[in-house]
Amino acid sequence: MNNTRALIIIFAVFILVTVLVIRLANIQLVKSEEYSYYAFQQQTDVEKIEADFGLIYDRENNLLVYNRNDVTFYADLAMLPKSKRELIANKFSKVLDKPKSYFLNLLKGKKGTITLAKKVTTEQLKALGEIKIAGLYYKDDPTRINHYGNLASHLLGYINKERKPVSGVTEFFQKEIEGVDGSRRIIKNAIGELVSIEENETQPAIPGSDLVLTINKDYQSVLEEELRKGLEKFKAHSATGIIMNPNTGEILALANVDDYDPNFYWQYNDFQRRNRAITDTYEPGSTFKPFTLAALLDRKLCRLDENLYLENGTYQFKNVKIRDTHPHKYLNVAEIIEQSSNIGIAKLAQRISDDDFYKYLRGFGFGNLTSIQLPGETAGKLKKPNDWSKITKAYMSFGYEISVTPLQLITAFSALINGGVLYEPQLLLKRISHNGELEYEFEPKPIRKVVSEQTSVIMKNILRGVVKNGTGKNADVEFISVGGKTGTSQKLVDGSYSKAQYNSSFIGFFPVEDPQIVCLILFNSPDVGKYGGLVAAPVFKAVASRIVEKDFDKFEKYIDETFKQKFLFTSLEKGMTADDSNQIKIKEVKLPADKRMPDLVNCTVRDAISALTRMGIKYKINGSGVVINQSIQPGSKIRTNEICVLNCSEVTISGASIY
Amino acid sequence: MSKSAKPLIFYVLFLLVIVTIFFITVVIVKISYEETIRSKEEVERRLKAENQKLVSLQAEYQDVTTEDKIRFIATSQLGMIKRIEPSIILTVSKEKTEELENEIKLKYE
Repeated sequence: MNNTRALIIIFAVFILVTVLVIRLANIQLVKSEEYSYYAFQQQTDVEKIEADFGLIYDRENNLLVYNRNDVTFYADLAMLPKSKRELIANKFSKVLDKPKSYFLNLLKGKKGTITLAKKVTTEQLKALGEIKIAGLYYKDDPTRINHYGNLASHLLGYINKERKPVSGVTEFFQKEIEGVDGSRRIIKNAIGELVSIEENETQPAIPGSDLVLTINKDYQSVLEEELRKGLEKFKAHSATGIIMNPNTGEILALANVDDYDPNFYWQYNDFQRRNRAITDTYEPGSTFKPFTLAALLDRKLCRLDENLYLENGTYQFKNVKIRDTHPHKYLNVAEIIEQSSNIGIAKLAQRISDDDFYKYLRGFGFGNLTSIQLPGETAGKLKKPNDWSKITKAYMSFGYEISVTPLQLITAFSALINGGVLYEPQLLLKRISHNGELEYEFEPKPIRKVVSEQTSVIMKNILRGVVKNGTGKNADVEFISVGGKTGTSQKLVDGSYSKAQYNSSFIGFFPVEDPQIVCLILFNSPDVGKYGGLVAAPVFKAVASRIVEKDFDKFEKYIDETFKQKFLFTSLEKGMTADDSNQIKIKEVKLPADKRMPDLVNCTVRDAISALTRMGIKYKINGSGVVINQSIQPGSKIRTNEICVLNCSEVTISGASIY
Repeated sequence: MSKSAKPLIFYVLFLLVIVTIFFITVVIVKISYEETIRSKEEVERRLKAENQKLVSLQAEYQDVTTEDKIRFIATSQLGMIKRIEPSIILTVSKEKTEELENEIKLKYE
């Protein structure tokens, strides 16, 4: 009996094993390839590992641009259980600060995949906690962050939604900055969750190199702030400014206002996003006169002390009339530049041959790309002598019939004052690989010698005269020697020169004895004031003053001793002087013995908050600084849950702590 | 039959137990390997996020420690003012300093 049972069991086991073996053989041998194919398709996926873009720093190692690993949430509505939708909407609305109905509305469909939430930060992801729900998943969505928003937006550029670098150094150094994407094979389960990763098939991503730019964040913010103030004050259409080291070609700051915030680039138009300093050309007007004079002096075709008859302000030349804004009878050559006489420079320009004049202008880089490390640069327009009319040379001598970009002008101007050497403008100070190796280091790139050292020294002194005695007086900074040239040019509107629209500019440098900074300020169509000396020169002065204050150590040796004391002790900002009428006397909070409202007016916000918290009074603060009024009157009884609104103002104060 | 069948059953069952144990072990190892891979992936993700946070904090730190920011907060929120005059003025005559300098030179040269 026992044997029969054993035989039955053995037989059953044998049959079972045989069936299993047959099935196994069928799966593993006969249909192996087919099943493997299906399994491979369903369970594995090759996932791209996106390389991090390199970081961008300024020359002082201030971090300007970095990456943030956000995620985007998706929901597969066919798989997402209906019972869980309420829970998801609840969680997302709490963390992402959006109404619950918004998420419920998104989740109300029956099939298809929807994007539930874009750019969810790591902190928000943590706050969402563990939400493992079938059909709800997230994917990496890297975000590029420009830490200072609009600051240097035209230089830095951005990365668009398709992860493509657009504009600025981000586009120019695309290859270096974007790194190499990696890949990995992942194994997923039926609902798409990660089960495992094929480690031996993983190619890690190589992050892009970091860029250290030649720009100085402080200079850049000063330039942008002053351009913005100027734009508002003079009601101009737009403004451009560039600060450069004339001895090396390093760009220290470059700004165009209006500009844009690269973090929200899609909210701005093409004009705001365009780097007009390199893409837009204009006729430079009188800022071009120094180049004409430099060519003449270099060829020894004039002397500084020789007097020229200036026709009392109107000069009939060929078939046109050349006019001076301020009529003069006689001026010497230096005074012609100081007073910006069109007649004087046009007369002088007749002494140089067309070919020589053209060669000099070409030598200064006009009509050529500067080869700046930015995309979209234009070359401007410099006509060849064959195409010149009888009046072209005269007009070119004072900056008409030639178009330049602001960058070309400042690059050429640098050559004029640095001893005569034209340098290639550069933006990249260093490039460092992801593992810290130095891949590139800045070296000045001299292109050619344009004028002699002697000519350059003479030009510096003449340009100092412009600021000291001539049209550029508004650019003079009392504590450091400044040289420069004003420019006012009529704009070409519909083929003729407008009498209402001007380009007002000033290009200057300091200190004159050893130029360290050259700065161009250009305002496009200012409504208030039209002359470069009235519009751009004061902005230059503000920029120069603030730069010297900020970089006191660098400029200390050039500052007069009497002003050093002033710098050390009285560099108060405007509106902060001791005798300011806006001043108030700060006071301490006195807590009443009974639970009544204290008098908080003229107390600092910090003290007011501390007092209200101690008394358990709810509050709302508008503004910052010092309390100027309070919604609950001092001494009145405080009702339960009553909110005290404190309006504050940043006014000048005295009698407080001193720093 | 009864005598020879017992060891056979025993061997077959023993083999089945061994195979089962082996199979279960393989499955456990595989699951724990996959779990490790997943946690490695999670840790790597967190590391990357923390590194990025570190970088963003570096930028934030650089931003809040600029002189302009400190000055702005000091004046507008903390009610501080900048001293207009130097707190102490040291007046030393030029002749006296030169005299002292010469004395030191004479003493040490």
